[in-house]
Amino acid sequence: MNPFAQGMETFGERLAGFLTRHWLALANGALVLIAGIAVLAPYLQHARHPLLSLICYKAFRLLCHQKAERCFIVFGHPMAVCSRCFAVYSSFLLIGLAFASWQMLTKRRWEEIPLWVLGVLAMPMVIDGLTQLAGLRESTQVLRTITGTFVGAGVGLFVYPFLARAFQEVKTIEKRA
Amino acid sequence: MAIICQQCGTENPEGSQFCSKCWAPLTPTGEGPKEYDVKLVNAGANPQAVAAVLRGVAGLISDPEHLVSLAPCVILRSAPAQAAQDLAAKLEAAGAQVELIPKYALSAQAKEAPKAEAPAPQAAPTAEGFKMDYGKAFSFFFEDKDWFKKMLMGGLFNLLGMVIVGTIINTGYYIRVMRNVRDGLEEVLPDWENIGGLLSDGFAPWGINVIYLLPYMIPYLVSQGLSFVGTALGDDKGAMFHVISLCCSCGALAGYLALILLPAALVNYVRVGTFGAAFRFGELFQIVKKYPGPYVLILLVSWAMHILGGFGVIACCIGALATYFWSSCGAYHLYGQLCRVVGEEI
Repeated sequence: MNPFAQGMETFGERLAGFLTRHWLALANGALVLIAGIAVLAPYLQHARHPLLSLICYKAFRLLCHQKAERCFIVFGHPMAVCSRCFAVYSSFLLIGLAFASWQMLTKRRWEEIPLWVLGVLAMPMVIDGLTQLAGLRESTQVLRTITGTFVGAGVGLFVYPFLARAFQEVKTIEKRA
Repeated sequence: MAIICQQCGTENPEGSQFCSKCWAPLTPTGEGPKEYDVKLVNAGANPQAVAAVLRGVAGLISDPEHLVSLAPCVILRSAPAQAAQDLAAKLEAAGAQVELIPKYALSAQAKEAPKAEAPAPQAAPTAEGFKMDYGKAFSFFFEDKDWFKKMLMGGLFNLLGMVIVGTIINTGYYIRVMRNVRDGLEEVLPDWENIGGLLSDGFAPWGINVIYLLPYMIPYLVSQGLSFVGTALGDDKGAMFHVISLCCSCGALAGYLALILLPAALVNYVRVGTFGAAFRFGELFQIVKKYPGPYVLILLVSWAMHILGGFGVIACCIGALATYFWSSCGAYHLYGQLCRVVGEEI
């Protein structure tokens, strides 16, 4: 094998090994970044860095309507995402952190919730969002936050144990080989 | 006298009733294996006649013409003894040279094969010892002596992707990479000959790719259209359009999740050989559930490869077309590895 191909092979193996070992830290890091940018946007506006703040707001433009009346107000300015989205991201992150602590403290397996439970947890948000969209009623910040938290936590409770099982299988195969 | 397990090939002490490794019941010595792998050693003077015999045989690991061109290769895995012997007899009558490999002896035979005899196909791994070779997906391309020429050709067809036909041809190329990996061939990168064949190989998998993109593309395009209308109508009248457009954007994001199943769909398509196999969702979920670890890592590593392939943009932008071809071949190499195991297990 030529040296370049050898180098690429080593790189590929190391990348796969890195992802297998540090997937949880990477996932939590990504969520910290997302939630952090959502809070950073109003802070930068407050600290008189309008251009940087605008970049942060623009980053979420495709993902959220960013209506000021539906966002939490931080540092005197609305966050970059609405309260519902922020609840989804932050509860997903909290479950991720809890899962990381669980893995560090105990060897016991954390079972994923069944898909139907995730569906049930998503229903309040669907009903709240659709009835508001249809103009039947106007939701409140508390309702948006609670329903968003259900969804974020539900996704976390399904995805993290599944991924943990998946990567554990990869590690077991590596050890056996 | 040791008793060899028909299931896994492990040697067990005389008198054992169950295998010490896999717990399968042991049959008394002297009984032949229950399953065989059928290896086509040589297609003989009349490959068309051999392909005609193969046509219609259930469970072939690829289409008949492709298999005949690949000889020597294993064409049917884990066939019941009677079926394997019947097929071998028919193939020999058509002038082909065939070898029946007892199922348990395959790995042992592969170990004993002289090195000079390469490029013989490698034995398929079992689920138990299934270890993905992620590094190989990065390096196999550069092991080919003509890799640079092949990459430039791939880049050229990516450029032709603007008129779709280039994308279909490249998809045909990727599928051949996948089949070659699945069949354990040493020369994984096909030559850029017979473009018509690549085009015909590429139609179905290209269609599968497009269909899996639809749940994302349709809401996305609707969202863009509504957003455009909303902007044209102004703040008051357009507000509702903007809100619905945002809902469609969320739908597009959810539709993007359908792409998670795409590798399983391609694996099942190559495994079964029919277009519909890519949409047998029961089997696709079975693949994901049976190999969650390798599957998740295949997704992550192939995404990482595409990001890496994007760095080709530093070579006058157009370089990305060639490096993206490399990253796609790498991703299909990983799908091919998964296909080798799934072919036997699902």
